Amino acid sequence: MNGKRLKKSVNSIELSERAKERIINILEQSEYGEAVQRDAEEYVFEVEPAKTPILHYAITAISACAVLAVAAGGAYLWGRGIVSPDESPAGQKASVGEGISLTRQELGGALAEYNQEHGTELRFPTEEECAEAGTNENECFEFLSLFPDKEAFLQYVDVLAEKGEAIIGSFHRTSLYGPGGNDTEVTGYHYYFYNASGQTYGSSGVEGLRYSDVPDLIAVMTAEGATGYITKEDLCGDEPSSPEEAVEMMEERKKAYENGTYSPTVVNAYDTDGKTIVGSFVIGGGEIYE
Amino acid sequence: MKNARALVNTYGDMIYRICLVALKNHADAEDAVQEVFLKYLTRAPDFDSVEHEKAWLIRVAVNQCRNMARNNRLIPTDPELLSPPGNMPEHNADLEALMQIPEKFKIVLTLRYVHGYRIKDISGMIGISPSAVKMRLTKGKKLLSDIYRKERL
Repeated sequence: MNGKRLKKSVNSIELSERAKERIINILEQSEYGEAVQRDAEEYVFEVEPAKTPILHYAITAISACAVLAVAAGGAYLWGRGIVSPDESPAGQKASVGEGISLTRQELGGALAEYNQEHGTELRFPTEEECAEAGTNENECFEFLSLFPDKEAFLQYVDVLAEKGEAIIGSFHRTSLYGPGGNDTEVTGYHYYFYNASGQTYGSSGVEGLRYSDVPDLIAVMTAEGATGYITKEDLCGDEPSSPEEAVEMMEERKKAYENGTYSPTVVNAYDTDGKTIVGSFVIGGGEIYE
Repeated sequence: MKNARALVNTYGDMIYRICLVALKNHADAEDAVQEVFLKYLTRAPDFDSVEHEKAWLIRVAVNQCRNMARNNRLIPTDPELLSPPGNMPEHNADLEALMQIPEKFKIVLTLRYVHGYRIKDISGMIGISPSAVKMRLTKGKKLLSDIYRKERL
């Protein structure tokens, strides 16, 4: 491989003048604060950032490092992260967060709002409410189509910033008193911010999320009892390049655990800048979840 | 903080190169550039220096392209159309080879050899350790060499 030739080759790529003008026009029209609505299928959801929860669930932390091995026909968990139940007590109610507030917005203003407090049931809008909200039935159910399966929605849902753009948040629900009951409780949702280094940070840990869904800095409760962030690399290890490698990593981890050679790792917990150390976090020593 | 025109003129090509290599499609890469600049205009912090600003943009571009690749079923542009006319065939071959390897390798190769960043800088930009950057560079170069070798056969 010739580095100079590679550089010359890639640097031959240029954004066309037409594309530049188009982008400049869009940026200038966006007024820098509003989403650009290119077509009727784009939405902006705002999740109240003040309620960002911290990571409390061992099973959740493991699932955050899951990779979907489509080619192999199944989902696999991988990585060296096993969060100690001692550090992250499973089943404990999140100390931060009183509910969820979702607002669907278009450039013209709010269309429908969803607020949910702890212990309340999730409610879907009716056709009448859609009509009252000032939209037509089709538009309303276009929104609902984001959650095609209401049962699945009771488990978790991703909050999309715009169609095709990053997932800016997600949350899931779990039952304290048994699956399927009415005594469900919001346990977490997610909202990723950018810090000064361009790293995403926020709460992680929705079952079934893939590596790329996890923010660069993951909110945790430190061993010292404060809120901090650990790096994705520390929690999940290096990203596998294929489903086969994911399976191999998982097997190695399992074998080490069975042989008693797997030991907990203490990693640094940082402030949102990803640089200032605010405490430590213990990875390992718990159960393996698969 | 730059205005829209200065932003696109200063960094448009740089972000576009990163996104085109990652997404392999002109239209998607242009969309990604637009999204990255929207984020800059709405969420960028106060930058200490030009280098800080540039590194922030690269980091956000890498995240943006990852998300787009994951959320969309992207259709690669015909490799013949990826390079501008007039390029030497061997340069097209370099670009095509780079696009064939997994994302995690091509990102570090691009940052190292195209943008000239040091391993330590790349480590900070994409959030992996310096040793992981080195490993990806080594493996990425090997993957590229393997592709060159196959194409010569």
